[in-house]
Amino acid sequence: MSANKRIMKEYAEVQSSPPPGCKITLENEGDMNLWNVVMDAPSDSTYAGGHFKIAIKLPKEYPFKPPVLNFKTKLYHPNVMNDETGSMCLGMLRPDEWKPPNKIADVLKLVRAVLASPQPDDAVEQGIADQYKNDRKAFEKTAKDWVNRYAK
Amino acid sequence: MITSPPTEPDNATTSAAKLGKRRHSGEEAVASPHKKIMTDANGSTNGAGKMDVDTITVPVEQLKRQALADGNGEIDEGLYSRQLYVLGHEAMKRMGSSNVLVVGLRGLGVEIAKNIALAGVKSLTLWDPKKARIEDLSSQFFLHAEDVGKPRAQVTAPRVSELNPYTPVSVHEADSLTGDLERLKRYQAVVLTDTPLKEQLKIADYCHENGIYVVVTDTYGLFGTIFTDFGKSFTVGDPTGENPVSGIVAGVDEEGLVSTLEETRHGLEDGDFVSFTEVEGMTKLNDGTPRKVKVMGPYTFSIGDVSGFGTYERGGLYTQVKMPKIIDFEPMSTQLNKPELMMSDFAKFDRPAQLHVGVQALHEFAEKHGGELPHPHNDNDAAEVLELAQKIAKTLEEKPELDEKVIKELAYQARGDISPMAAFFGGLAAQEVLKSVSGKFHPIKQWMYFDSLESLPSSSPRSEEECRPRGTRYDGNIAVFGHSYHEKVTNVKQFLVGAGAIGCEMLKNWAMLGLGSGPKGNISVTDMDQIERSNLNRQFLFRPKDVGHLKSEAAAAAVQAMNPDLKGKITVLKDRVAQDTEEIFNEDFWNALDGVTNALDNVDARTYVDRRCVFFHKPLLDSGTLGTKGNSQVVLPRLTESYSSSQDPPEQSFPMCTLRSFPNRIEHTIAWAKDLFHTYFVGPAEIVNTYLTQKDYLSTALKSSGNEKQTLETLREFLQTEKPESFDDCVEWARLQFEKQYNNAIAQLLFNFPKDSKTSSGQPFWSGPKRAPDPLKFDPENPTHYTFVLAAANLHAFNYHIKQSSDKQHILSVLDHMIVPDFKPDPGVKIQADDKEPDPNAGNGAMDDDEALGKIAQGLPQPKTLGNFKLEAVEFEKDDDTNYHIDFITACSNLRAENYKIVIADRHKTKFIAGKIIPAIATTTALVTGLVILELYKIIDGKTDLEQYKNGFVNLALPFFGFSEPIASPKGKYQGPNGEVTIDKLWDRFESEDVPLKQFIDDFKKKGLQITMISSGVSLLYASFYSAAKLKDRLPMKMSDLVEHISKKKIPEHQKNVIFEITTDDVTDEDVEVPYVMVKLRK
Repeated sequence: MSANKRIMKEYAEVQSSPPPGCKITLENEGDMNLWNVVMDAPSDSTYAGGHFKIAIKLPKEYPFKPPVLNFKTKLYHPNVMNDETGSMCLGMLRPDEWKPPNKIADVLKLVRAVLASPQPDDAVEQGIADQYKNDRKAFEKTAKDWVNRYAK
Repeated sequence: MITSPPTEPDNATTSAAKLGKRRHSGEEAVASPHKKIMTDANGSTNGAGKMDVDTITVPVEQLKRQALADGNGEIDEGLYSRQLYVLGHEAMKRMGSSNVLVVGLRGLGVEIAKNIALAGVKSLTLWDPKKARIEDLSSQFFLHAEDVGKPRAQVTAPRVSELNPYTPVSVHEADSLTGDLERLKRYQAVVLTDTPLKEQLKIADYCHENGIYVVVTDTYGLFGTIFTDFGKSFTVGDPTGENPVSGIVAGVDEEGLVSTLEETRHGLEDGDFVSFTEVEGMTKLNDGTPRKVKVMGPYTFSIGDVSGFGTYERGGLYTQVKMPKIIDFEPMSTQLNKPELMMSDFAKFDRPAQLHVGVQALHEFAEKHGGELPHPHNDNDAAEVLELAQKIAKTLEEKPELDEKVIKELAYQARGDISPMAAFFGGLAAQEVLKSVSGKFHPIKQWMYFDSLESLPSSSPRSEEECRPRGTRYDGNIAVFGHSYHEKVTNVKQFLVGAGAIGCEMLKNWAMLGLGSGPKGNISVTDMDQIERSNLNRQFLFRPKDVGHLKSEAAAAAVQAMNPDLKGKITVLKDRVAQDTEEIFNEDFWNALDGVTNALDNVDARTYVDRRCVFFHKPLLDSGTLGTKGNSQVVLPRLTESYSSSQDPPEQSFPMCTLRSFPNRIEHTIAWAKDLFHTYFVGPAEIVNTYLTQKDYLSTALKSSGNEKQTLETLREFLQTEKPESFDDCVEWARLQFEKQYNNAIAQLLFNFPKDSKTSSGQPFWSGPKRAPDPLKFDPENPTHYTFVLAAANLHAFNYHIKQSSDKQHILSVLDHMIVPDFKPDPGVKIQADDKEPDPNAGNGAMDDDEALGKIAQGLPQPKTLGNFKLEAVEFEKDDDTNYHIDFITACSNLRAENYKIVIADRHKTKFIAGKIIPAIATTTALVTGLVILELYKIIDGKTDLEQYKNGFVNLALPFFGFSEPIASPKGKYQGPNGEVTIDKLWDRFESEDVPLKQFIDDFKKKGLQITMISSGVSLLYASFYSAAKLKDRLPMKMSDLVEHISKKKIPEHQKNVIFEITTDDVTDEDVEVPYVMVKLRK
C-alpha cells in the first residue's frame, strides 16, 4: 500500500474514532504529512485542565520510520525537551523501537499515558527528572504554573 | 604505466607469501550490511614490446611520494577511498606487495586484468602471445578492429596500464609458460584463462608446490567455470568482512550464560568468539581471552565454563573477536577427479558435477581437433563432446548423471564469448586473486560452475546457420544466440539512468553486445554528476583527464571508441531523472523506450524511476552494490512486483536523548559531532545572513513560534559578544568551546548526577547504556585536543572570512596567553547538559521572556551599519582533506568518546561513518552488471514466464550466490455491480477525463466503488466525512482545479496527467484496495 493510502486511512480512522482526549486536524489539506493535535491532559494528572498542541510530522518513509512529534505548547515534563522543539523520544517513538504496524493513534495514547505518569529514568530533561524524583512538590507546583501560563 | 616484469623473484615470493598467510588480528573493519589517476605521457609501449623502465617508473614513484607527503601513508586515499572501506588498509598494503600474472587476454582475461589493476597490486603482468581475432571483440573491450592480427597481450597492456598509476602493467615475455615454469616464481598469484587443460594442470600443480596462488577460469557462451588453489594451510584473516559485533552485558550466570541489555539482539553466531571488558564481579572475564560462543537465543549466548571467575555483579561490554581461519587446498590434479564443488545456484544443484565433466570433455575435444572448440550449434561436434563427457564421467569417483541437453548446449556454445559472462567471472576471479594475496575474505573452494541457459532466446531461431560466424565483432555473441536474435539486440532502445560505477560497466557490456547500434536502436544515458578523482578507482571508462567532465558525456565517448558502431546512437543527457525534470523526460521520451536500466546510487532516484516505469509500463532492471555485496532485480510490466514493492530497512538513526546525554557507541559521538559541526559552523552563519539581508527579519523572527529566544541569542553571540576580529580570537573561541563541551557540561552533569546516584527503583543511575562521563582537562600537547582547537578555529575563521592558519607555534602561544575561567557547577542550575539552557529559572516565574528578548533585539547592530558584512556558512564536504571538516568531526567525536570512555575511531573510520560513505569495489560492480545483462537478454527475447527470470544476491566475501524468481505483482479483486472484478494492484490503473469531482465520484459508483477519500501527492482532496459546506465548494470543481486549489501550486504546463490515490468501499461495503487513477489533462 502506498504511504499516502496508509495515511489517508489512518486519518479517516482518527476522525471517526479519535484517541482519548485528542482532536486531530491537518495543518493544511495541501500536506497530509503534517498533523495537528490538541490533547487534553488526563483529568487525574498533574497537567489536568491543560490543552496541549502537538505537531506531528510523518516522514517520507512513513510507516517505516516513526512520526516526529513536537509539543507546541510549553510544558514542564521530564520527557519533553524544554526548548523550542518540544520533542520527545520514548518507547515506540524511538527509531530503533518503531514498528511499521504502529499507528499514530497508538503514539498519541502513549504520549497521553506519559503525561499522566512521567518516566524520569528515560528523561530528556535531567533537571526536571531530578526534581520529579527528589522534590515532587516543587515539581508539581512548576508544572501546574506552566499549565496555567501556557496551556489554558 | 609500463614497466619491465618484476625482478628479484625469490625474495618477493617468500615475503609476500608470508604476508598473505600471516595471521593478522585487528583487521580493518568494513561496513556492515543493511554501496586520478594520472597517466603519464609515456604510458605506451615503444614498438616491439621492449619496455623502457626508467622513464616510466619515475612518475609512479613521484605519485607515491606525493601520496606519502599528503600524510596518507602508502595508500592514496583520494583514489582508493571507497575501496579502502571494503578491504581495509592492511589488505591493501599486502596487495601492494604482490605481483600478479594474468594469462589469456580475451574478454575474460582483460576483465580480470582491469579489475586487478583498478584494485591496485605491486605489479600486473599479462601473457598472451596469440594474435587477436575479430571475434575477440565480442567481449574484449580493449581491442579495436585494427588490432586484429597483433599479439593480444602486447596490444592490451598499455590500455590496462592507463587504469591505475599505482599498478605497473607489463607483458610476460615468453613463447610458452610451461617451457620454463621457474619463471612463474616471480609472481605471488597466477590467473589462467583460455589455457588448455594439460597446461593448466602443469602450471597449477607447480604453483601449488611453490606457494603461488592459482585461479583458473573460463567461459563458454552462457557457461563458466572457476578453480582456486591457495595452497596448503592458507590463512584467512577475516572470512566475512563484517564489522565485529559488540554490545552491553546485562548478566552472566554461573553457567556462563550471557544475556544482553534490554533485549538487544547480540547478532552472534555459533562458533564466533567474543572478549569482555568492564565486567564487574566476574572480573576474570576481562582478561582479553577470546571466548567461543554458543548461541542460546537472540538475546542470550553461552561462553561455557566460568567457574572460578567470580560472581557477576554488573556492567560489561562484549566485543566479537575475528579469528583467523586456516584452509587446506588440494592441487588441481587431485581435485580434477575428486572435485570440491561450490554451489552457485541452488535451483541447479546437479549441474556443477555435470559441467565439471562437460568442460573436461571440451578440452579433450579441442586437443583432438588442433586446439579448436566445437563449431557453434554443430550437432556432430556436440555428439562427440557428449561421448567424451560420458567417458570422463565414468572415471570420476562420484559419477554424475549427465543431462544430454546441458552437455550439448555446452558444446553448441563453446565458441561463444559474451561480455556478461566475462564480467561475472572476471569480477569473481579478480576478487579471488585479491583474497589470495591479502588473506581478506573467504575464498571459493575449490571449483564453481555457473550458467545462465535461461538467457537463451525462445522467440528467435537458433541453428547452425543462425549461429555461424559472420566475420564480425559480434561472432562471439552470434555463436550463442544466433544472428536473428543479435539483430533484435541491436535494435533495442534502452535508457541508462546513471553513468557511475554500474553505469560504466553497463555501457561497456552494451557496447560489446552492439545494443542499440542497429537502424532502430538507441541508447540514452543521463547523469548529472561530474567525474571526481575517487571515481577513477572503479568507473573504468574515465581517465584523469576526464576529471571535472560530465560522466554521461565521457562514458558515451569511451564506449563509442570501444565500439564505433555506437557512434550517433547514444543520446547523452545531463539531468537527474526526477519530478523536476519531467519536462525533459516527458511522455514522448518514455513512450519511445523499450526498457530502462538503473545504475543509481540512492533509493530516492530508484524509487522515482521505478514509479515512472510502472506508469509507462516499461521493463526495469535495477542493481546495486555495497562493498562485496550486490543484487540485481528485474521488474516486468504486468508480471512482477516493482522495485518499490519491497523496502530495505530504513537507515539507522539514534534516539536524540542518547546523543544528548548518554552516548555509548562511537556512532553516537560521531552523530553528536556532526550536530555540533552544524551548530557551530552552518546554522549561525545562515541565521546571521538572513538577519543581515532580509528586511523585517527580526519582526518576523520574533513573531514566529518558539524560536525567537535562540535566534536572538545566536545573533547576539555571532554579531556582537563573540564576534572575532582576528584569527587569534578564533583560537580563543575554539579553546573556550573545548572547555564548555568537554569540561563544563560534563562537570555540571556529574554535579546533578553524581557517579553514585540511584534511579527511583534504587538501581545505580550510571549503569547499562548510561556510561558515567569524566571531564577532560585541556592539554595542548595532546594531538586530539590540539586538533579540535586547530579545526574549530579555522572553521570559525572561515565563517568570518578571516585568514586561516595552521601555524602551530602561533596557536600554542595564543593558547598559552589566554585565560580560561574556572568552572564551578552551579547548584541553582537544574541541569545544563548542553548549551541550550533549558530555561532553568522559569519555574520561579521570575523571568519575563518578552522584555528580555526585546532588550537583546534592541542591542543588535543594525544591518545597515554593517555594510556588506556577511558570514560564510560552511558546506560539509567529506572528500577534501584540507578543509578541516572531517578533522573537526573526528576530534570532536573522539573527545566526547574520551569523556565517556568509548573506544575512539580514527579519522578514516570517522569519515566513513560521518560521510555515510558507501564502500565500493570494481569486482562486485562488474559481476552484478553481468547478472543484469543476463536478465536483459530475456527481456529482449520477450519472455513472459516468470520462472525464467532471476533476481540475484551475491556476497563475494563469503562467497555467496543466491537467485530467486521475481515475485509476481499483487492481484486483488472486488465485488462490482456485475460480479467479481480482478485487478493487478500494481500495474492496473483507472483512467479518467478531467471531470468535476462530483462526476468523478459518480463514475466510480457506477463501477461499484464508493470513494471514501481522494488524495494527489501529499494533498488530501476529499473525504466522505467532510462537512457538507466544504463539499459544496469542491464537488463542482474539475479534478485538476481541485488539485491546484488545495496544493496551492499550478500543475506544470508540460504535465499531461495527474495521479490520484483513492480509498474505496465496494458494493458489499468492504474496504477494497484499488489501483491509482490517472486523470488526463489537456489534449
